[in-house]
Amino acid sequence: MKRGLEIALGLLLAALLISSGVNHAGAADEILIGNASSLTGTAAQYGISTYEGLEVAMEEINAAGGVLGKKIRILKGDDSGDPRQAVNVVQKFISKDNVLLIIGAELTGTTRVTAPISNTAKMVQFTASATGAGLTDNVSYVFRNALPEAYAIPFVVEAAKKKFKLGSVVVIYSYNLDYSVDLTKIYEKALAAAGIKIQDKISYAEGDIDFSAQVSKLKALKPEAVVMTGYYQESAQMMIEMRKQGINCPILGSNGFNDPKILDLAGKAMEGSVWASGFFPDNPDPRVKNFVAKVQEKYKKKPNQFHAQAYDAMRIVAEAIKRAGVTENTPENRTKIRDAIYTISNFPGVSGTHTFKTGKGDAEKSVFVLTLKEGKYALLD
Amino acid sequence: MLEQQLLNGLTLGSTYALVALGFTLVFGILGMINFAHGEIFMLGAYIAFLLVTVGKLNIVWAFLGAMAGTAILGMIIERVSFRPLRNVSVLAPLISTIGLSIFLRSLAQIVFGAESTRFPSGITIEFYQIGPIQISSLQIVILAISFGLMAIFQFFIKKTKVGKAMRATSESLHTAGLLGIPVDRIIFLSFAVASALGGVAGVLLGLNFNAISPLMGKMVGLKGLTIIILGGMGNITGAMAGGLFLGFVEVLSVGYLTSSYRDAVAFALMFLILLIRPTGIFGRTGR
Repeated sequence: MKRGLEIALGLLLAALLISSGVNHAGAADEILIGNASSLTGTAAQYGISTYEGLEVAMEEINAAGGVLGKKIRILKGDDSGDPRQAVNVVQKFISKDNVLLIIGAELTGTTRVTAPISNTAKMVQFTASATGAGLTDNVSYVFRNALPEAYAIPFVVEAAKKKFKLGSVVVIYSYNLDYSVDLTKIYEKALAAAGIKIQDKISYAEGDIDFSAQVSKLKALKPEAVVMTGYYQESAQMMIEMRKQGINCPILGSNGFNDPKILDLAGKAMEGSVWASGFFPDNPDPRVKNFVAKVQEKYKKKPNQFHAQAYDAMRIVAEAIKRAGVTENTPENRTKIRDAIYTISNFPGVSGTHTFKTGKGDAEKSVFVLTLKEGKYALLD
Repeated sequence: MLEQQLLNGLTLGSTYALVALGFTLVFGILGMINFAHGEIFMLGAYIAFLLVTVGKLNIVWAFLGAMAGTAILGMIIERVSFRPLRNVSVLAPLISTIGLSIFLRSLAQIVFGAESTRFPSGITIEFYQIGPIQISSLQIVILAISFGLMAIFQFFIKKTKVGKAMRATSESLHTAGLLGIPVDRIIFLSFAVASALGGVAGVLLGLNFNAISPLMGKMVGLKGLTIIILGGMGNITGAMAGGLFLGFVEVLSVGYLTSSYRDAVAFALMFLILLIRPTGIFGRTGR
């Protein structure tokens, strides 16, 4: 009896070893793409959306015959949103899994530390959502199709100034969140350029749930408009508290406002907010409609910009591989794929049209200025 | 603005006080910290959330359900993480509850998703203007429930037989046992009561801020711990006073300084108080 158990366990172990071996070999008739993103941890919602967007694009491409006759397969790598873990994931993709290119990471912090690693390995790394400043500087193999805040915010400020005739604003930011601190600087620059004064700045800490004190302070300032630079969860709660305490001024937001979850959380409190995006789910463009329907059918949720940008990223790299005409994984071929990305221009995606220029990692994109009108995302008129 | 900020502090502090009561009850009796208490708080909010959204019950039943659910959870935690380790060492249950807290938090993330969820209370909020203060019907409900529960709890612990047995057990587990108090059952019950208080606090917070998340217990758990150190470990009045104190300090430092100083101010004050009274404000000296 005991002997039988030992044999069974031994067999199981052997089977596990063999199957894990097969897993990493990477069959010759497929294109292996690594996706480093946070599937668990505090930023998991972004990583999961990114992965889902990639999957929808992959299925579409594979159903149409794949790229150069080969099917794409995505290899998941969970970095938990932790830069240290992201380094491990990317190193494993390069040295062990033999991926042709990497899509990710989806956060600024994790992308900042992994970009130089991919660059040294001459491996294209394409981030679909990291918006931090300077991420693609000095690393020629790193690309992104996210809308960098520094590019988008001036559009928001200009549009809001025109619409609300703003003379001053109060800025609300998360003092211990890099993203929010960086974004606040970007806003300060854009506001100064537009001649709008900053009346005061009010801060909160990441993970705070009580904003009553900040809002009472804000109320005493009688603001013309408020700028919010935090992640969507805190921003939504801030909005609810603001409306609760009777502050009804417009809110200038950021990237995070694109996530339909902020609307779920804040509801009516979000009405009248203004922000920029390449993607909005109610866009009548048939390409966008088709994409929204597919995500809704497969995942039973409304796509957000992370879905949209990841979907576009996958289609852009697939196009680049096709243009380069190579699928065998060698440093020369990977360089060819990089150079092929530079040739992509006016590429229509669901998050805007994309144009790449030689030597530049950031895509140039079209920008919409959006607002919430009667519970729906709409263009600011 | 000061009056409004004081009201904000009172609302926040009363929720903190409820969480701290649960912490201090368990500590008073076992001399051990239940690090999973913050997660009980979080799960209380989610139980109420499920009862309201899936069960289609009204908020009163959701409150009662959350209390019952977290009480049962507390008893399970006692059985799983405390009782088997009671005579091993002080560190063992500490570590086991830290593990449990991570487990519960991750479980909630898997089941409910990592992001915040809107808490549909079904209560229509009305606002009343009293002089310079704007108070909402919701705030009145929160204050009434938390102070009501604190009063009931005081009565329970001071006047009832079970409450007296709890206090006796906290004096000395061994002696209480010798005197015929069913110590195991009293500990079991203390966990149930402590957890139910934590659960209610979770629902109150969800109601107040209209959102709940799997991570909400982490911060509140740490604050609960701070409060009981401040108020005197195991001291019930201390937990309530400490909770209100922390609520006021946090709100006022955000209102008149900036958020970046909030925790610094709160902890600097705690440090000062502990320098003067090392056992906490209401802590017994010489124990």
